[in-house]
Amino acid sequence: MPHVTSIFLGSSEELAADRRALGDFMGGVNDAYAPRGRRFSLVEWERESIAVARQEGGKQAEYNELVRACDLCLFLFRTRCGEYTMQEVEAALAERARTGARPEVVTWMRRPRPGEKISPELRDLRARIDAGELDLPYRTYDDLRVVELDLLARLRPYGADLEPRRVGDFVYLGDEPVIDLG
Amino acid sequence: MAQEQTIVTVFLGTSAELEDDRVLMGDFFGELNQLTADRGAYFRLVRWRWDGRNDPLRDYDALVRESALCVFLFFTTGGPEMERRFGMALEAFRSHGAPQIVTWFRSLPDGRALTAELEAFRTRLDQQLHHFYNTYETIDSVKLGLLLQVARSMDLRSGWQGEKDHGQAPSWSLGTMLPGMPAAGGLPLGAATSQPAGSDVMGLQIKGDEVCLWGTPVMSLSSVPAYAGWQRLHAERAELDALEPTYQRLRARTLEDPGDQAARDALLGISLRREELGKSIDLAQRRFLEFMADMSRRTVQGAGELTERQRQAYRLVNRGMVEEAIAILDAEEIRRDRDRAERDLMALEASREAALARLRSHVSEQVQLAELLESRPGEKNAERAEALLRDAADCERAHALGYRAQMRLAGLLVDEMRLTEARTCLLGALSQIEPMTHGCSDEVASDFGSIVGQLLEVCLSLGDAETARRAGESRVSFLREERPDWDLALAAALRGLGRALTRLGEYAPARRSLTEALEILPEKTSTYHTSVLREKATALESLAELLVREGSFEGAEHAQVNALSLRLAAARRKDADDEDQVRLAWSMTAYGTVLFLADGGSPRRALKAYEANVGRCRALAKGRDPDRLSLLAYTLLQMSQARVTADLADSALEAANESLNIYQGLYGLEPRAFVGNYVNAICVVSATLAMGDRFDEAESLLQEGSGLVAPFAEERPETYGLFRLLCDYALLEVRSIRGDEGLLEAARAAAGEAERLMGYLPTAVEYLYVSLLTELADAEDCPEQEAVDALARAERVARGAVQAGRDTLRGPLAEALCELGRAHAEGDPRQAASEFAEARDLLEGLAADSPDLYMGILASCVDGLVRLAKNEGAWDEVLRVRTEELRLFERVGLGFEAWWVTEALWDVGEAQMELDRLAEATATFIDLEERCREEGDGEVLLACWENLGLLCGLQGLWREAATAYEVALDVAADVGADDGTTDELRAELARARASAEG
Repeated sequence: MPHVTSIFLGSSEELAADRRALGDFMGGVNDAYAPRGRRFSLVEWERESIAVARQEGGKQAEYNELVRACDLCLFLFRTRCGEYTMQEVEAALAERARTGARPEVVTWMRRPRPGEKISPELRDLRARIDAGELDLPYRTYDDLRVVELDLLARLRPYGADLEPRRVGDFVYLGDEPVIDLG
Repeated sequence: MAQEQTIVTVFLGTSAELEDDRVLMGDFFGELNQLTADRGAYFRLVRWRWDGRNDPLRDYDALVRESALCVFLFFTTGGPEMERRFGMALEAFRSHGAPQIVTWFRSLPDGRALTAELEAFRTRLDQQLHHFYNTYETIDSVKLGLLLQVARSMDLRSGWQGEKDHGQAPSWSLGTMLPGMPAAGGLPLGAATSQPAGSDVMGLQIKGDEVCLWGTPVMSLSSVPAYAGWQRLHAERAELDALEPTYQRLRARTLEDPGDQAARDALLGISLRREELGKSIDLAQRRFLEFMADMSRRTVQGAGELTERQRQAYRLVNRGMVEEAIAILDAEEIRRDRDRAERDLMALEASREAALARLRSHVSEQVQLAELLESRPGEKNAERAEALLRDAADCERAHALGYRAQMRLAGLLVDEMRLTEARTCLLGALSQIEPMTHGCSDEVASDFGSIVGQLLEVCLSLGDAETARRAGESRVSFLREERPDWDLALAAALRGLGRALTRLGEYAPARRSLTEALEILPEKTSTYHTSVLREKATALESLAELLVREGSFEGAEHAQVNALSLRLAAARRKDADDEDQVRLAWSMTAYGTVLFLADGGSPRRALKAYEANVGRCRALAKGRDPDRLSLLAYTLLQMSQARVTADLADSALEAANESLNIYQGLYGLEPRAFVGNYVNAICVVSATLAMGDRFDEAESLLQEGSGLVAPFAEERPETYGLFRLLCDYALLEVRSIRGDEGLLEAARAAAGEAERLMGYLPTAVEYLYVSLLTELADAEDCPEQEAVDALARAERVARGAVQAGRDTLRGPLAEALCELGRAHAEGDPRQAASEFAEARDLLEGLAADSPDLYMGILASCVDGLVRLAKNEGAWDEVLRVRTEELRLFERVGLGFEAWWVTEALWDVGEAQMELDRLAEATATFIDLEERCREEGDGEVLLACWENLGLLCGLQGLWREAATAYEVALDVAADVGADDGTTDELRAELARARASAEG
C-alpha cells in the first residue's frame, strides 16, 4: 500500500472553485509521487459529506473525526464562516492541543472582491484570532497558486522529498508540472 | 513495504476555452485515485491543451501513444495540432487496441457555433473515421462515462495497459477486486441481469442521487441529463416520496393504538407498495447503470458497428431525451433493414451451398477414380489411387464436405498398417458424420458404425485405449437409440467396447459388455450366416483376453477353445474367404498363449499349438500385407518364448530372430503399434543368446530395446511400460548371470518401476515384479533388511496371485520362499523350516514338468532343510528329506548335477549311521563308493572307505574293517592325502587287525 498523508480541506461553498483547483493541483502532486509509493489524500467536506450525511445524528461528529485523523488541515475562508466549518476548526485545534503537534493547521483567507461583505461570523473569527483567543494564524491570498506553493513546502515533512524546481513558467515535481505560473 | 501499483496513463486533450472542465477532470481523477490506489491502480492524468499553455518539456506525442485512455473535450474550437494527436491516438488504437478514445463535445449555448474547422472534423469523425462522439451539457456526464470506463477497465486485463512501478508486468487482475463482476472481460452487461436486483454493476451503485464506487460516493447524478431522463426511476421515486407522510402517519397510529385494525390494514397495504417501489427503484438504478456502461463500452470499442440510428439515440440519451431516442430507434424501420440484411445473407449462403455441392461432386469423382485405379494391378495404380484419395480427403476436410473420402482413405491406411495417419482420417470423418447420425439413413448408420469401429481398433493398436473406449461408447449408444434391431452390429459394438475397457483395466464393465455381446449372439451358430460365426468368435477371443488379464486362465482356455472351433467352422464354410484363414491362424496362436498360461508356464501344449500353426502363418504371410506379417511375427515370438522355457535354445533363437526381423520392419512402418512386440522379440532373442553365454550381444541388444521403448513408456506407461520393464529385467538377469557387480541400483530402479506399473496392469506385471524383488534381494551388496523386505513383498504378491489361480507365479513364490528360508535360517529356524518346506512342495511339482528351470532351486531348498535338521540333530528328518530328493532325481531323470546325488547319498548314509541303522548305512556307502569310483571323485571315495571301516568295526566285522582301511590307505595315497590322515588310517588299520586277530 502506498504511504498516505491526509490533508483536510475545510472551506465554505463560495470557495468551491478553489477547492476543485486544489484537487486538480493535488492530482498533479500525486502523479509525481505515485511511482515513489507515496500519496497525498485530500479530504474534503463535500466529498465526505455524502457518506457522512447518511449517518443521521452523528453528522458533525463524523466530520470532526475526519479532521482529527488528518495530518494537515487547510482552512480557506472568503466572506463567510459557517457553523460546521467553525466546528471543524475547533476540532483541529483541540486535537493539535491534545497531541501537541498533529494536525498541522494552516489557514488562508481569500481577499474579498471590492464591495463584498464579510459575514459577522467570519468577522468574529478574525477578531478571536487577532485577540489571541484562537491560535490560528492566517494569511491572505488573491491567487490560489500562492497557497499551492506554500503547500508544496509544507508537505516536505510528510515525505514529499522531491525538490520543487522552476523551469520557465512551470514548477515541477520531478517531471510533473504542478503549477503554471504564467 | 509499498504494494506494487499499476499506473494507468489517461491523456486529456482540451481546448483552452474548457479550462474549468479541465480542472474539474483533474479534481475528479484525484478523487477517483483515492479509491483505486488502495486497490492497486493509479490513474495519472496528462493534461494537454491544443490551443493553450502546455509543459514545454513534455513529449505529448509519446504520452498519447503510451496512454491507456485518451479523452478529448471539445467546445467550439479545434486545430491542426489536435487533429494530428487525435489521428495518432486513433492509429495506435486500431493497430494494437490502445489507447481507447473517448470524445465529447460540450453542448453549445445559444449564439455559439463550432468553428468550420471543428465542424469538418466532427463530420469526418462520424462519417469517415466511424468514431463515436458524444455530447455533454455538464461535465458530470463526462465523469459518469469515465467512471464507467474505469470500473470496466478494472475488469479487463487486456484493456488499459498501465505501466508498472519498477517496470514489471502486472501480476494481478483488477477485475477480481470488483465485487459482483464476472471474471471474464467484455461480458455484455445484459448478462448481469441474472444477478439479484440491487447488487452492483462492476462495483458501482446508485445511492440517492450519488454514484458510489465500492460503496464510496464518487459523483452526483443530479445534473446528469441522462439520469434525469430515466423517467421510470424518478416517477417511482416521486411516488415513494408521496407515500412517505402517509406511511409515517399510519405507523405512528398503529404504534399508538395497536388495536386499530383499519390503520394496520392500511399500513400493510402501503408497506407492501413501499417495498415494491424500493425494489423497483433499485432495479431501475441498476438498469440505468447497465445501459450507460453498455453505451460506454460500445461507443468506445465497437463504434464502427453502430448504425447512424444508434449513434443519434445514444447522443439523445446523454441529453436526457430518452423519448426521442426511442423514437429514433423506429422498430418498423429496423425490422425492414434487418430483413434486407437477412436476404443478403441468404443469397450469399445459397451461392456458398452451390459451390460446396460442386466441390462435393468433384471429391466424389476423385474417390470414384481412385477406386477404379485400385481395381487395376501394379504399384503405380495403387500409388495414384492413394494420392487421389489423399487429395480428396484433404479437400473434404478443409471445406467440411462430408466424410466419405476420409473414410475411404482411412480404410486404405489401415490395410497398410499406417495407423497414426488412419486415426487422423477417422477422427476427421467422425467429426463430419456424427452430427448427421440423429434420425439418419441406414447408409449413414452403417458408415458411422464402420468409422467408429475402425477408430476403436486403430486406437487399441496404437495404445490409446481411452479414445477407443469413447468410440466404443459412442457406437453402442448410437445403436441402442437409432438402430436397436441391428443385433449383430450391437454385438460388435459391445465387443469393441469390452476390449477397450479390458485394455483400460476396467474388468467388471468389460465383462458386462462382452457378456451382453455374447448374449445377443445365438448360442448355436451353425444355421446362421458366416458373419455371425465370425462375430461370435471375435467376442469369445475378446473374452479370453479379458480372462487372461484377470488371471482366470482356465476360463480363458475354455473361451479360446470355443472361439477356435468357430473360426474353424467359418473357415470351412463355402463363403469363407482368405481372411477367415488369417483369423483362424490368429486364433490358434492366441490359443497357444492361453494354454501356456493355463499350464502355469509349462510349454508343452502351447508349443504344440504354435508349431502346428506356424506353417499356416508362414503361408499366409507370403505377400507384403503387414497384418499377415504381424501374424507370423507374433506366432514366431510366442513359439520362441515357449521354446526358451522348454530349454530349446537353438530353435528358440532361430524363431525369435525371424520374429525380430519382421517386427523391425513393422516398427518402421508404425512405431506405436509394433514397438511392444518388437521389444518383446528383442528380449526373447537376448534370453536365448544369454543361454548360450553370449552375454555381451544380449546386453547390447537389450540396451537398444530399452532405448527404443523408453519414450513410449514415458508417454503411456499403462501401455508401453511393461515392455521397458521386460527389457530392464532381462538386462539385469544377463548382468547377474555374467557375474557383474554393482547391480543393486539397477535392481532397485527396475523393482520401483515394476511397483509403479502394478497400479496399471497388476496381472501382467506381477510376475516381473516378484522376479525383480527376488533379484534385488539377491544383489551382492543389498543390505540384509532390504533384502528380507523385498523377499517378503515378493512372497506376498506371488502368494496372492497363486491363491487367485495364476499358477505361473508358483515358481517365483517358491523362489521367494526359499530365499526367505535362507534369510531366516539362523535367527528363526522354525520359520525357515516352514518356508523351505512350502517351497519344496511347490517345486517338486514344477521340477517334474520343467526340471531344467526348477531342479536347481529345489536342490537349494532341500539343502536348506537338511542343514536345519542337522543343526537340530534331527537325523530322521535328514534321512527323509534326502531320500525323497533321491527318489525325485530318479523319477525325473534330468535337470540335476551328479554331485547333488553324491551329496544326498552321503547325507543318507550319515543319517543312517547316526540313527544306528548300521547295515543300511553300510549299503548306502557301498553304493556311494561305487558312484564315486565311476566319477573319479577321490576325496569322497576316501571318506566312503573310512566310513565303511568304521561301520564294519561297529558291527564287529574287524576283518572287513581292516580291508576297508587298507583300501582307504591306497585311495589316500592316490589322492595325496596329508600325513595326519594317513597316520590315522594306519592306526585304525592296526586296531582292526588286532581286533580281528584277538
